Amino acid sequence: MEDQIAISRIKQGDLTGLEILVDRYQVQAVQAAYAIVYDRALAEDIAQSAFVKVAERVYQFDEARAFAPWFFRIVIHDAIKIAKKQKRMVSLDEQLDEPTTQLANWLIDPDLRPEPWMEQKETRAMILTAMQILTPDQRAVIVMRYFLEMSEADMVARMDRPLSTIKWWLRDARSRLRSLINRAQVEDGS
Amino acid sequence: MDNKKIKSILQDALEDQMPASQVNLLATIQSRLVARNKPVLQQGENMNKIRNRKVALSAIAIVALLAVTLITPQGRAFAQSVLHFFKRSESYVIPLPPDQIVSSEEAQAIPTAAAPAPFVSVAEAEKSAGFDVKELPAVPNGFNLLGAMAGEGSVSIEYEARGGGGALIINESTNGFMESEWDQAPAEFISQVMIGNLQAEIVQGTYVVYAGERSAQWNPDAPTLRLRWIENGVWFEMAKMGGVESISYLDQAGLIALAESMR
Repeated sequence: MEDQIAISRIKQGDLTGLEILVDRYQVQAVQAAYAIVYDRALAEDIAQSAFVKVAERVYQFDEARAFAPWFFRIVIHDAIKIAKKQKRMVSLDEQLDEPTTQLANWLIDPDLRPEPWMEQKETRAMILTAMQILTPDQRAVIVMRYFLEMSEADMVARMDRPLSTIKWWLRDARSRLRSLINRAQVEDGS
Repeated sequence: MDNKKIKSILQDALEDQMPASQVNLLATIQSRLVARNKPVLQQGENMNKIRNRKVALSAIAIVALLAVTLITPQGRAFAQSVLHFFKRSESYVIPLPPDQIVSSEEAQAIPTAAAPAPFVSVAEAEKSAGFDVKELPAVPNGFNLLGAMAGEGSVSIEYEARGGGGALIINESTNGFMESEWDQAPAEFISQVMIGNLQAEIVQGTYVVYAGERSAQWNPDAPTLRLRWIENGVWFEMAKMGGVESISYLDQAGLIALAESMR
């Protein structure tokens, strides 16, 4: 309801509505973008641009619908676009260290119980390192599924892709991680 | 491990990298809006005019495109190919010319065809072909990448099923689709599908010649799946052949998803 009121205000030219939305979604937007582009300045820029677009395109928005999915679609779309230009994926030749490998293992198979140390602060960040192995589309799918908690139906709508594609990206993300881990283990002789 | 737990760990990891306390975008957003010098409300009021102009321009563009398409032979060919990516065969049977009829004994004696041109990297093939080639982001499950081959204005990227018995071949060409009698399919076995926003067609089955037969028969159960589409002036065909276990997961939806993942 608060979002709808904010949108109505923006539509009337009252930018205090935008302040409400910024206050509510800026952290999630910046963090979601960061998980895809891995650059603080770029993540902030993506989130700022998304809010500017909200202000400029607010007349396109149907107030009967939820704001957050529409907004995060802009964030995710722009983050993917920028990440693809960066081409900053972890090289296939780059070995993962042991803790990162374990985190990657957990990421590809969330049914595994993580070791207690995985939840410690110094090791939690490694999950982001493990995610760098993935393509921007795959990172986005993980961000949408696990961080933004979007349903598969929402993800289909947000990504303009059929469910089969979304499932494929998740499946492919897992298999890419698995093959890199196997390769790293073979090279380690373990 | 449920999704909530994953969210919590991801959230903590991101909070370590991008603490919420350091995120304050409002001032920059406001200055960016001011810098654009376009009041939000005014934009909304002007939208109808802009939208009407866009509709008018789109209508003119469509009429012009139709005119060009229907007047020139290339345009007519293109329009035909857009509507139909596979030629429709009129029969389930293709009679074979006498020199192509092979007896059972001869079929067993025929040696394997000569090895094709050696494979090169996709980058090398792209350079030879002279256009931007799209690739899959990763080798699909169950396959090994053999490599690419380049022709004049065309590239094919080939994968082999692990352990043999199947293949995935992606043909990209600026010269149109391969069009022989053998590439056709009966209309009822051609399905219209979408690859993202692009129209495409997919066919399950192929014409098969059995030793001693005087004609090729359409076999809808043959483990051959072909997907065709056109994107930015490049004709794409993705074909999966073989039904071995390692690639049996790759069905129509999977093939479409693969096509959508090409970059």
